[in-house]
Amino acid sequence: MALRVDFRDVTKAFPGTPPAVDRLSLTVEAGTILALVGPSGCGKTTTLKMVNRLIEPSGGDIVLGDAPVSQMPVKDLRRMIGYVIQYVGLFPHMSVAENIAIVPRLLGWNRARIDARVDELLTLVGLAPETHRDRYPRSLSGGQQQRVGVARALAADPPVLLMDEPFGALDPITRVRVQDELLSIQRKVRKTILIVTHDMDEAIRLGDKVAVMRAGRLVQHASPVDILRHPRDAFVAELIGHDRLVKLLSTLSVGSVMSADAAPADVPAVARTASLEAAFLRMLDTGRDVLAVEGGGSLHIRDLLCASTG
Amino acid sequence: MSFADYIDIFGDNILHLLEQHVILFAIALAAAIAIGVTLGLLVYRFKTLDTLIVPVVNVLQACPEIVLLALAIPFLGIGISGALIPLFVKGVLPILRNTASGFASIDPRLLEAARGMGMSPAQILLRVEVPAVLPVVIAGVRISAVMLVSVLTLTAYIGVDSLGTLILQGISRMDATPLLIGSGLTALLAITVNYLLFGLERLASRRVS
Repeated sequence: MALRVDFRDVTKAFPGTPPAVDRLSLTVEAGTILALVGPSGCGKTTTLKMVNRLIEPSGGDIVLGDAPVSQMPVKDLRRMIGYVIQYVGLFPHMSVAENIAIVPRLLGWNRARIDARVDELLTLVGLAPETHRDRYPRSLSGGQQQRVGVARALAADPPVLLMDEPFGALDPITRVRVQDELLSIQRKVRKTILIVTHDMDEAIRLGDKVAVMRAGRLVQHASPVDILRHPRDAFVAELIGHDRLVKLLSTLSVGSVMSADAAPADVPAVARTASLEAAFLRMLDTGRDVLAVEGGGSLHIRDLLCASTG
Repeated sequence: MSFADYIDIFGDNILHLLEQHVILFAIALAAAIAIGVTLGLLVYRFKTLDTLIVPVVNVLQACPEIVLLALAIPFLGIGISGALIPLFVKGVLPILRNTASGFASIDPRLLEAARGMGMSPAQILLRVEVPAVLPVVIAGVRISAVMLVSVLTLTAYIGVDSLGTLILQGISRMDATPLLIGSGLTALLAITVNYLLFGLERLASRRVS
């Protein structure tokens, strides 16, 4: 189950400073991932924490499904929202199983149900239950700790998941792997996920939609491809970086722009699921302006030009 | 008198004094833990109390034990309370300090994660904060306990039996035997207490550090 999250004119002002979040309105559709991205102090974490009321908005409301969060008892609200922060969020004195069992225990599940759930979740995040259940967080690698963090957030099957810089403490290689794992978990669980990051690449990889924030304002809210194609202003373009079009090509698949025309007989072939970046490199590599797509069809360099401008 | 003779004749008395010493120690340590942990929590929760409580405890800590004993006589008289109350104070500071700094050293993000999962303040205290500070607090208790074992020998000066009685006897009679037995047992007790509490400390921190 997942719920829609609706920000309606949400403002958070602290006395004596400009608002941390300024009249934010956006909708996160049920079962999709929204990546909140922006520089430090742009209000993205404040936005996230207003959903589970770790911070109370000073204006506007956030609606979960049909229920405004301000009307819900705070404990019930938090127990139906999974919360993941950087790996420090695991309790060092509790075993992996105990960490995962926190919310189910708060909800009063019985022993057998909790044990079964812990094993189910460990399997879901790719950790063997027998060997990891009784370990302590300090004996796990950063990537493993993060997976336990995700398992813990999913424990009571919450409709909404909040993730605050969840992969910030990981090295780049582990980070990409854990991101991929999150996406494959999401294909199975279909939660509504809000993820805060300062890393535009991460936002593009993970988000069904990306919300770019600056100084408390929502600058652009669009799909990753739209943001890459048409950054609203210089600020968004700068966040993306100079290799914007490369990122765009790496985000799109061959299948999304190819034509059904048959390719000439002797051209190299690419997979339908390959990225346009890989296809483009293949063209540069072989000196051909057209590639055959495995399983029929072709990809011409014209298709790439269309894709890059939308 | 040789050791063997002395122990032969006064063996029961030595055991009685050792028992007295352990009882005094247990009471003093329990009181020091109760007051130390309470004050430590107060100092951590209400930062302003820090400037109020800590200097007082510091002064008491710096004051020589014998002076504390003498000062207490007009108020508490001679006897168990007159001996224990001025002395247990010595054990408060290390416990207070470790409790306060233990709580202060908990990662605030950990507490936020706990709140974010819908734990109540009481649940956060019992399930998150207490297990995290326990090793630090026990370390403070250990320092206090070792100090109290030796400080308590002074009760003999105001007529309360402890291993100090033997030491005092040795001094006044210029007899090394009771002096050595008294101080040796005190040292042995201190070492035992130290290792017991050290074991406890390790047990509590096994998962954390």
